[in-house]
This record gives sequence, structure tokens and C-alpha cells, in this order.
Amino acid sequence: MNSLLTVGKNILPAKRSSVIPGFGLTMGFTLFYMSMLVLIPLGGLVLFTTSMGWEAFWQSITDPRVLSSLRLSFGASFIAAILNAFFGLIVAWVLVRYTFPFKKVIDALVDLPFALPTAVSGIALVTIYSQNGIVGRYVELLGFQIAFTWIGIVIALTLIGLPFVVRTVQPALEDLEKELEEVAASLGATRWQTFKRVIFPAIQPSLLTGFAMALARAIGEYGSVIFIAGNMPYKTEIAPLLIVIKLEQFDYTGATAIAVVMLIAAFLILLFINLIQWWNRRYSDEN
Amino acid sequence: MSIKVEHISKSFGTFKALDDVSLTIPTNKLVALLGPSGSGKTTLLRIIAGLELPDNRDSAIYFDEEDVVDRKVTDRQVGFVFQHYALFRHMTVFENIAFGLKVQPKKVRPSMEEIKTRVDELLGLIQLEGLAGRYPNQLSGGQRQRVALARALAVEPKVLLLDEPFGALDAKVRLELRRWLRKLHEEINVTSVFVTHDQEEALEVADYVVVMSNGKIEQMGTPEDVFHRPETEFVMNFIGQVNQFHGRVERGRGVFGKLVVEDDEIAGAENASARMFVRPHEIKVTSRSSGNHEVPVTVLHVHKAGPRVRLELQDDENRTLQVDMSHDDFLMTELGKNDKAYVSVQNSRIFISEEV
Repeated sequence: MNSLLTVGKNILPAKRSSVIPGFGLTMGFTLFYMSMLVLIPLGGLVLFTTSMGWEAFWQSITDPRVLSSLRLSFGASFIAAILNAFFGLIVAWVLVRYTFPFKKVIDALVDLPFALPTAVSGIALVTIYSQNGIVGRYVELLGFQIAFTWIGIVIALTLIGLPFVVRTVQPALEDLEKELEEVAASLGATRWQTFKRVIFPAIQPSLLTGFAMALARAIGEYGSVIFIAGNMPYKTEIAPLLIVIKLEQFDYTGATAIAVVMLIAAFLILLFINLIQWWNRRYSDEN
Repeated sequence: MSIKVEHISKSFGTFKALDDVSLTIPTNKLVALLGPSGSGKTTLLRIIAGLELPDNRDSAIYFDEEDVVDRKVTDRQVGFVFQHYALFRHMTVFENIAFGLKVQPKKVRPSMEEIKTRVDELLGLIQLEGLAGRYPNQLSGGQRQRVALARALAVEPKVLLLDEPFGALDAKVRLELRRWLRKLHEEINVTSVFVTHDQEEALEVADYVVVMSNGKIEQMGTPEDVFHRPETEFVMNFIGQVNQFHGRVERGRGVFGKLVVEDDEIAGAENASARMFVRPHEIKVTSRSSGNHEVPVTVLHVHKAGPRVRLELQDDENRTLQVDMSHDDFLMTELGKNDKAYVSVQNSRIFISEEV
């Protein structure tokens, strides 16, 4: 413990001259905290998987049922995150740009999916979108179903990801100088050109951050989806659910194999988004 | 292109920013709107640009003969430069300057080569060749403001409007840039209006100065006019340093304590309270009394660090007077701190408040 608390000092001695004290302590704590909560459990997960051997691992993750669940999980999450990026931007825009009655209420509603137990949102969605629900009833007349199909999964994932986009885009929109739009207008730009060339590039980094967070949240979501998904193997069975099923069958290595694939995929997606961010910010980091 | 505004009024809530303002700005001149904050100068500039709309229906804004009051900012062909540059952060210097050309409708938009030529030309004009690929945050304040100016000029605006263009810059850059703007204006010859609260800036750069206060125009004239022939008390007070004396006009003579002044302006006036304004360089200081119409004073401070000596004097009634004179003249007076001295007024402006 003591060595962990002071480890930062030894790794980065260059910071010793800083006037702000406590670098060694806070850095040591950060490393300890991150290790206990994130690095060691995930490392253990990977280590445990290696015990099953490459062949068994490959066989386990190329199983059609696993593949289709992974495809569904990532595909639905991706669609949900895109929907959130688009509609979340509109919600943020309305909340920042206009004043209207009950604006504060709507602003507060945005956070609700954060606070709600996911099971509650799942049940709420089922009651609305199932065949007897107030929306599902009419959708069925049009000839398709929402609950117990991939559409329902996308809706559940969109719900839980909504706050991320709104809450990251909102401050960026608030910080946008009015003068930028005025100068664009004085140069002859139409409203659409101003949005496309001036406003959007300015908020795009935060939109991307919001998208990444919504996506990450959706990939890991379990509670709300299992109520509305129907959970039919090969059709509406998401990867986290399959992990639980495998665990219940005492197939621990099979479960961790899926977990490792999800871990790597999620890591790569987030890394890729961070690279885009880094490239985007080249004009604001240089000085 | 001349600009004529007629009967412009504008309120923000209960605050009256502009009160029935009319003004003509002659073709190709550089005009300063000068006034303290809250005088309405920026609002007037924004209304000319179309960024703000006048409140009243009978107002008009003419660009030459054409009434543009109903025209949107997009269609007014004005170049607008903001105090804080308002450059597009995610665009390079080149892209910033080219913005106005690139957003033009396809039919009139110049080709990429033409845009490149035009931007290069402007980069030369603002003396920033070689910085086309930089982003705004890699430039100094002065450079950013020049880019903002080039961006406004790229679309060949009919009028150029600048809102406190040097306000965010430090003193030295400010001085350089305003001289450069004066020179640039002679080269490009576009009717230009700039807003400032810095009288020195307005007097040095502009062809005409429009002094504003409380949403009204106090005076418009050449820098010489507003400095030497102020029409109102406000202008007298606002432009340059000034000493104020309260007194009365009696039978055509101004009586301000021990000072008695005769002036053509008040020759006809009988018995009224009056205020007299005297510039610091229009007061004569001597160490010995030389006759009438003098006020005895004490020297409070002597500031010698500067091109001229500035004296702070105090009279019997504890009023302070600012005086400045050349170093040679100061040596002749043989005065120092805490010495007794006598002042007389060589030139003054008297405003009569109300007849009694």
C-alpha cells in the first residue's frame, strides 16, 4: 500500500518541482483506484480466458449463436447511438436556443434514464410497445412489431443513451459565440451554410464524445433490453444475455470468451473515436 | 457608397439605446462613432449592418439611393469586424478569408483558382503572406484582427463596419494597427465606419468623428472640429482633458470666482448661470502676479515624465486644475511643488445653462 501511494513519484520525477503539492499521493491513489476497479479485474478476465487454449476460444466465439448475439449487440448499439447523436443534438439545440414553457421540466427529464433502474425502463417500454400496449397496438395494424424484435432493442438502447449526447452537446452549444453566426451571415452565408460550416464543426467534437459514450453504454446494457427483446437465440439474444446464460450453465470459459471479445471490440471502438477526436482538435491543442 | 440613416430609434427593454438618430456618412470616408459605453454607438453600427432592426417603422437606411432597411444582413453586402475577431477556429487563415467566397451561390461563385488568387492578394494586403495554413489560435491578437479584416474584405463589401476593432489589443499593437488601418483605408477606398470609446483613436484615424451620448448624436465633424470647436458641453468634456469652472454671466462678461472673462459668444447674454471649459494647455501659470483676472493657486504635483510637463494645481476653494506646458516654459516659471502661483485663462468655451 505504501509503495503504491508513492509509486507516482518514482515514475515521473520531472514533476517534482511543481508548486502544487501532493502529486505523489494523488497519482499513487489514481493508479491504485484504477487498478483495483478496472485493470486487475479485466486483466484477470483475459488471463482466465487464456486457460482455455486458442482452439477452444476460437470455437467458442465462432459459434453461430455467439456471433449473431455479438452482431446484434454491436449493430443495435451502433444504430441507437446514431439515433441519439441525431435527436440528442436536436434536443440540446432546442434546450439551448429557445425559451418555452416547462423548459426546466424537459431539461430535467433528459436525466431520467440515468437515474432509472434499467429494469424499470425495460418494463415501461414493454407496456407501451408490446402487442397490447398503447403504441404497439397501432404499430401492429401497420404490419410490424416492436417489442420482441431488434427494433425494440434499438429503442431500449436509444432510451438509455439519450442523456449522454444531450449533456455533452449542450455546453458546447452554449459556449458558441453569437458573433460567429453574425459574421457568417454578414459574409452572405445562408442559415444552413452557417450551421454546416460554422456551428456543426464547433460542436462536432462534443457530439462525437456523446456518441461514443452512448455507444459504450448501449453495448454494455442488459437490464432494460432483456424485457423487450424476447431473447430468442439467433434472433433477439444480445451478447450480455448470452454471457449470463452461459454462466448459468456453468460454462465459465465460454462466458469469458464472449466477454473478452466484447472488451476488445469496445476498446477498439473507443480508441478509434479518440483518434478522430485527437485529429479534430489539432487546431485547438497546438499553441 | 454613401450611407444615410434617418430617424433610427431602438430600445432594449426600458433602456433607450438610440433616440431618433439621423446621420449621413459620405462616400469612401473613414468615420468614427465615438462615445462612452451605453451611448448607442455599437447599436447604430449593428443597425447599419442589419444585425439589429430599428424599432420604428418610419426609419430608413440608404446605401447611396437605395433603402436597405428591409434587407437582411446576408444581402446587405457589408463587411463586419468584431472586437474579439470572431474567427472560425476550425478553419485555417486561408479558409477563414475564403469563407465569404465559398458560400456564394454556385452561379456567381468564383472558381477555386480565382478564390486562391483573391486570398493571396488579401494576405499580401494584411502582410500575412506565408501564414495561410495557420489556425487562428496560432496567431497573435493583432494578426487575428487583420485576418478578420481580410475575411470581411474578401467579398468586396460596399461598406466596412468595425466594432471596437482594436479594443482587445494591447496598447502598442493598438497604435500600430490603427495607423495601418488608416493606410489600408487609403488603398482600398471603401466607406468605413468604426466604433470606439478611445477619443485618441478616433481623432487620429478618422476623416470624420461622430460623437454620441445617451442614444443621440452630439456632434459630427472633422477631428479638428470636434476638438477645437465642440458644439456641446458633452463633446467639450468628453474629448481631450478639460477644466471646468462654474459661474455666472453678467452683462456680457463671464464671472467665475476671481476669473473674469470676456468672450464674443456671451456678448449678448444677460445674467445667467454658466459653465466655462478650459483645456489644460490654455491656462497660463506664472510665479508672480501680473495684474487682473488671475487666480492664486498652490502647486500640488508636477509630472515631468512625458513630452510636456503636467501640473496639478489647487485654488483657494480646493478645486483642482490640470495644466500642461512645454518643459522650456515650465523652467521659465521657476515653480516647484507646494509653491504659490497665479493662473490666467488664455482661451475658453462658455456654455450658458439657463437664463434667469
